[in-house]
Amino acid sequence: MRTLPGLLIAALGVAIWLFSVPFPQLENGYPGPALFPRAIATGMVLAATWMIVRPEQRPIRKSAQRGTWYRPVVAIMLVLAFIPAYGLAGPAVAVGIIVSSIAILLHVRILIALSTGIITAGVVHLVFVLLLGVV
Amino acid sequence: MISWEGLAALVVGGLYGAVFGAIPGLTATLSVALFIPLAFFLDPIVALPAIIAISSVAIYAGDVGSAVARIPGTPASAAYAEELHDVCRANGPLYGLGISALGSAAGGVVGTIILIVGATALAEVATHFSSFEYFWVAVLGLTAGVFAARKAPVKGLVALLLGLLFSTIGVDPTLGYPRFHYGNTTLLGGLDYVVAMIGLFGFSEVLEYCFRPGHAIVTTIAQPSKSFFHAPLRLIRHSWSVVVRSSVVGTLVGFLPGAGADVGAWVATSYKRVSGASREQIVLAGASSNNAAVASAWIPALSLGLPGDTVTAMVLAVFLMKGIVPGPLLFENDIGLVMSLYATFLVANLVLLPCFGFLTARLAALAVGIPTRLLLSVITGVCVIGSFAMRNNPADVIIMAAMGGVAFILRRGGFPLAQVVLGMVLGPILEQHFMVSAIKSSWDLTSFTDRPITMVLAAATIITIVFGIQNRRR
Repeated sequence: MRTLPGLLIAALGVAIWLFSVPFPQLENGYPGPALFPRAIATGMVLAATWMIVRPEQRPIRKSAQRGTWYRPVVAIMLVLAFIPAYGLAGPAVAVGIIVSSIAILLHVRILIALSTGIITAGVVHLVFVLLLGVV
Repeated sequence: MISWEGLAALVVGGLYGAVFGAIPGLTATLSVALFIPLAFFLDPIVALPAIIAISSVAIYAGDVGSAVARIPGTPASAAYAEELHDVCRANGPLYGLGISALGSAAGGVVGTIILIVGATALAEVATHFSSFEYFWVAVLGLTAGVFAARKAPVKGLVALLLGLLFSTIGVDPTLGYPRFHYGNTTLLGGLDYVVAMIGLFGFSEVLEYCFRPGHAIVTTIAQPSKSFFHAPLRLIRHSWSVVVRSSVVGTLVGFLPGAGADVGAWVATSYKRVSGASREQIVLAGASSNNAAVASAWIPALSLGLPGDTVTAMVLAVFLMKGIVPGPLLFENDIGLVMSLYATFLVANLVLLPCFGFLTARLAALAVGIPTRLLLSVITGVCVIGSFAMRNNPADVIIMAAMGGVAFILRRGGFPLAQVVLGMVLGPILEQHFMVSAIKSSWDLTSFTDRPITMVLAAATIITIVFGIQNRRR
């Protein structure tokens, strides 16, 4: 069960090492900005090796892994839609749209989902824009 | 010792801190920063109590998001966000936030007592801390963090390395070389760990529910005052040694300039996890240590004129603006002001924290009464606006969403999330102080252990490793 995560972590470690190759060195050959990323990469490869050679004693329950994969992906895409929505309508309306969309994704009734989005947009505008002035 | 205007400032400041701290993305530091322009026009006996109330209550209020939706409001509250959320899930938000608020109050009182008794002596110790000692403090915190993942320290190590990796994005803290930014200006400035925290803890909860609809968020229970006051007070009475030890750790780490409440809370909670404490005791340890650190950050500020954290840096600006000169002479020339600060800390911790804590806990209990699917939709909106509000940068929303995705995958693999934040908080401290120390000593690595305090810290790190391995075998 830990082989695949182990391989992915090892691959990430190798990638970090390779990406840090162009970083400059200090005078007299002392390590510079590459030192810390390379130490992390080494740690990742070692931890990954340990995960691969020492399999987990308690396997993860299959039931805990069952779920619907498409919905988390759609949720992430809806949140990323903040960027164009913000450009078109400002932060409060953009947040309202996201809240309504996520509510619909989670099977909340459309009328309630839209009302929640409108109320959230109102609260965001009042608190973040008018009262605190942080956005 | 405290004027009526000062008391009024305490109450208004506490309310302001409660609102700010409870909203994800708005930190205690930001709340004080927004208050500073107003503070310049106020008398110090009004401005300083308000700042103390804002910072003390906002640090506690950072736990409200953790309680309701696993979104810690501050890096310090991320140290025990998972445990607090679990406690709230099992026993209701009033009980969880009761432990947090009353633990914060107890820690704040201990921190204030240490501030009163040992300000000058501790400030003297702080002057002996150089980059070598700071390096070892970071190593100690990271070591404790690895073994804090008791069920799977290797997974804890991987999560920690991932956090350290995230901390390397942007300009290198010592030499100024840009790393892993791929031409993106937001990445060049580094990942903001509050934005990362919102994604890691808050948005990942939404993704988890999208993946597996049906798992409940939190529950509500009856008898609010009994849940908020009686049961947590009983816990504090039984676990008083946890409060004292964690408060002392919070104070000792908090008074070091640059370390502050965040590192203090992580060190205190990591040790409680290593020793196999209950979830309630871990919350108690974290809450008491971070509020103890709020008080102790004033030690170098009052005694030496050195800021302990960003809040006290702003306080020093107010001092200078008002013609007050911090340092040893402050205790001789303006003892009245010093006494009023001490009294303000005690009132803020003994009165304000329980009152505003109860108020915010009641509001949190109302929030969790909302149907889960609707609550999660609103939480998504809060995650988005909270991450955007940090720097008014839409790219932070992308970072938040990406962190949510990373956390979702990590959770599927059984990797802990708290260690990712720990790596992000301690990574820059570790790297900067290692590089500075190495360059200072011409890369003579033996100089890392040839000073008395570094020897003690290195020994504590080794003891932590041995204790952690033994504890795991048991």
